[in-house]
Amino acid sequence: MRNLSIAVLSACCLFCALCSFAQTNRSSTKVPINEPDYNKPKLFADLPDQLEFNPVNLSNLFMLKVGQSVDVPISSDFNFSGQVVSKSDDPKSVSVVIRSTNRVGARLVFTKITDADNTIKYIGRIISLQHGDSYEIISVNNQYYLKKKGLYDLISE
Amino acid sequence: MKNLIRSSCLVGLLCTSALVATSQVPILESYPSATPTIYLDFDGQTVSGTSWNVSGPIYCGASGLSTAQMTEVFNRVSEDYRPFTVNITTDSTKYWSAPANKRMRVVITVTSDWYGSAGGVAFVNSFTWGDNTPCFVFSALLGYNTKNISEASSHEAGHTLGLRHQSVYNSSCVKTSEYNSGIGTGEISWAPIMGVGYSRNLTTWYNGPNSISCSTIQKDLDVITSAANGITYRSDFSSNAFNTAVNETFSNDQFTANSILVKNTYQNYFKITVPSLKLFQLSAVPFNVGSGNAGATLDL
Repeated sequence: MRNLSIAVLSACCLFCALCSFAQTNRSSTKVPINEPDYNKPKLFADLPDQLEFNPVNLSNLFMLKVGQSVDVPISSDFNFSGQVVSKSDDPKSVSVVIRSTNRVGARLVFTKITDADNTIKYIGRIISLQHGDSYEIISVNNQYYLKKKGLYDLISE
Repeated sequence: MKNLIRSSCLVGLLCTSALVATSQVPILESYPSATPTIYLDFDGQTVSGTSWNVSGPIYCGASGLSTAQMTEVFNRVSEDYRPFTVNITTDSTKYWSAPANKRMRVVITVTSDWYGSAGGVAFVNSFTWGDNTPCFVFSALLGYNTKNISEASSHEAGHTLGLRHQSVYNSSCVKTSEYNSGIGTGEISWAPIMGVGYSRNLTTWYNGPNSISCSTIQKDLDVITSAANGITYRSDFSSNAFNTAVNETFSNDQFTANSILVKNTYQNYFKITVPSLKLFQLSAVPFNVGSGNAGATLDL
């Protein structure tokens, strides 16, 4: 009886292994193709197309831990409140992701990149998949700006 | 002793289970000397600290493809990017050794619930961001179909290089479809890679109106080879001039020559001296992965 139990258990293990590996090459599967929704509501309609900001003032964001709440004073017109939800600590590329509580749906991603010649640059964006507008950090002559962009200028399926 | 045998059997079975459950990823490269790198990541990935992360890390499972399927996807995607100085690879070490702002990880994964229903998704121009933001191809939603997964991989990688969709407009300049789905049936059916080519055999880069407007003509080749991407056209192919064509060598009355037709305006020249006056047959075959010139990027 014991041997039988072991045999059944072994057979089950083998079956599970094969099932976990197996997949069907379903050529008839309907592939999801989505037409973009260019009529999504705007999240930043009250803000200008371009905001000047100083990334060095935001450097302390990289010290925050996941779960911490924070108010990010991006400009005099724009305070981004939220909670840290993710971080990346690659020595050459440090990132922090903050999910907004005052612009619901948006997350701010702020990244500090150290190039091979130790030059530092900042990149990032504020994006919400539920909304049609977003901001991207750009640099012009060493001055940083948040520039408004359409969602589909940033993301595409 | 009996218990030892039983335990050994169970451990053996569990080990077998683990091995079978994860297919071996073949280590492949399309152009090892190229610096810009597109890494096809089949074995799962944890994504953190990127614009994809809404609520913590994204734990992406492996692709669910067999080794043979991964190899076919690699071959199809490599063929799409063959004209360019970019290394398509399945080797993570090649990704990590490429400059951060000249590389892209294409995560081919069964895990899509964090995003929704789509074949894949990418950030436009993220190839040069330098912050390890990957793009995604959702293998389960694509039915584990190698053709579909390959099309989506080339397409999403194309977005990261700055390409938008090739779209369709009516005569009044009203967009009728975000995705140009091409024309034709069977072996010579065609669609732009940056449109939708799941049901077309032949897919190519294209000059056509993109998703911005009917008058915004996107030349895919120009975008891919932009200075920011650091990608150029390959030059290690056969002669493109009549007088510099290299003589091909016959062996058993046959010769084989391969080349890359880098651009639609380029020509390849081969020089042959027929050894004797006999019936002469010449076959020109595009690179393919199966019958009916499957996966071809060239219409011959």
